[in-house]
Amino acid sequence: MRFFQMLLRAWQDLLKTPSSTLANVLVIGVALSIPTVGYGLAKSVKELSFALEHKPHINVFVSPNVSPAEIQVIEGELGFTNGIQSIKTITKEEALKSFEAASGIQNVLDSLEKNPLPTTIVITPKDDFLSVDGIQNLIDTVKKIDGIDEVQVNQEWLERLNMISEFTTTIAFVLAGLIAFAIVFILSNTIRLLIANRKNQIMVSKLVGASDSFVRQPFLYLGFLYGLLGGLVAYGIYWIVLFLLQQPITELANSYKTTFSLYQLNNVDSATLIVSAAVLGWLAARFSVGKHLNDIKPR
Amino acid sequence: MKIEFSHVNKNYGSTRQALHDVSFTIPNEEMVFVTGHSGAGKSTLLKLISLIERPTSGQILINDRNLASFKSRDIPFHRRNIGVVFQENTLINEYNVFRNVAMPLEICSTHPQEIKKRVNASLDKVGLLHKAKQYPDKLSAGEHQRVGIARAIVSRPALLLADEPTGNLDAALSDEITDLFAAFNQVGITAIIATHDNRQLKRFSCPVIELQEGQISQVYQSSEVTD
Ligand SMILES: Nc1ncnc2c1ncn2[C@@H]1O[C@H](COP(=O)(O)OP(=O)(O)OP(=O)(O)O)[C@@H](O)[C@H]1O
Ligand SMILES: [Mg+2]
Repeated sequence: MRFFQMLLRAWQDLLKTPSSTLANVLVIGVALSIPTVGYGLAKSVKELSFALEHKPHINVFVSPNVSPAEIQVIEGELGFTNGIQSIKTITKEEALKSFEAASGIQNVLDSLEKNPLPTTIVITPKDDFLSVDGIQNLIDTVKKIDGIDEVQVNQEWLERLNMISEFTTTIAFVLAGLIAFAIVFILSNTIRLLIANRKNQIMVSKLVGASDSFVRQPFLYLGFLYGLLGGLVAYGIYWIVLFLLQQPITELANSYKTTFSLYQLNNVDSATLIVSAAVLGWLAARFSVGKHLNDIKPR
Repeated sequence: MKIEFSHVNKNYGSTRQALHDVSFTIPNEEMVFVTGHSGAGKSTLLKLISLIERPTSGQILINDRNLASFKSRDIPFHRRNIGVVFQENTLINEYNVFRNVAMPLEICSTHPQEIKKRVNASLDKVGLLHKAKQYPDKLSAGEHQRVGIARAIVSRPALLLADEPTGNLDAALSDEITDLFAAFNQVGITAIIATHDNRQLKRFSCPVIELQEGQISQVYQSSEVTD
């Protein structure tokens, strides 16, 4: 209740100087939007779908002691697994035959006690599972099925994309850190000016018996509100960037025969952005108030 | 409030002391004048009581409690018991008269209805109820002073400190304002009034502490003033 009262008061204070408020909020918003867009790009790469020509297959190697009947059970289970378009089973006999054909060595079995090749089930994933995360999910699910030895996928592109995504995420976080620092600097300077403007009020409040926390509070709320509004602006900028880039990026992706869509912030992302912006504003105010309020006499 | 100074010195850092070996006792519910030439140390004396300044040495007891024992977090509570009319103008130009007077109540989160009641009563006492919505820059010097007084009494303090409350007012208004303090004193508020307006002293019969160069030169009854 009191929280909203104080926030409302801070809001009214900000409205008294609309142009400087707007300028500050925009600066904070633009600054915050940089790591936000970086984060979105990292996420987009993770969801990148691959060239349809190079659709990856997942090879599932069945344990050697699994009977043909049990293999049928496994096939049945795979049939129910979400994200699988089709499966094709290569029995160990078929595997041996193609090995013989490919190598030119006949009667391999004569020199070996038993067929060393495993039965392989080749999975073709559905198109909407063709992303780093999608494939990984599929692998994790399939691995849990009994009687399966190993699951393999052509890992190279997976790892490469993962690396790009992680790299972008790291950059986004580093940027976020630097920008948080800049925002604390900008905001604490703004708050310093506000304190200077209200020197009289602060002085008189103290003279009539205001506690330090009473004097400090309005500035903390102002910082909080600045951060909150900056966060909302960053959120808005993200959607504008998304809107502006979607068309050209889709065209570019199509020319490479891939589909690529920009990541849309979900509720958790949005809440994290806005709440951390507000907390950042509060911290900046706290920092500034701690530094400048004691300069005003009486103590 | 009972106020006791014993051997109080205050040095702002220059060679001359603003207060030197000042000792006196003001009993509870008393009204006292502090006089002296400009720079004698009147304001300093009042600032020591409200803990705006701390003594360089010596002891100040308020209701038998040593002010030296007040930590900075205790100071706000101490000040809430004291109404101060400052020598310099301390009204906030951005606030209207009502909000200026309400400040001592707002800082301790008084209920808005209670604030309204008390501020109006206070403004009524100084005859400025009709100016509640005015801003300070539209007020005359006398009205300024009276708003300051309304602010000082609004929280019903036990002690009133007035620093040259009639500083640049004409005789009639000065009388009116000093009478106001006398009236508050009648209802049990201890009052200390710093002034160099001899006219006011003659109108009352109460103790006068006269300062000279930071030292008490004499203490006498105000009714004894001749000239
Ligand atoms: N904050 C300060 N820093 C340094 N010196 C000060 C300060 N305040 C007062 N003084 C000095 O202390 C002495 C006493 O000042 P004070 O303000 O108490 O006098 P006063 O009796 O109130 O004078 P006036 O009638 O002009 O208001 C003066 O010499 C003044 O210059
Ligand atoms: Mg003075």
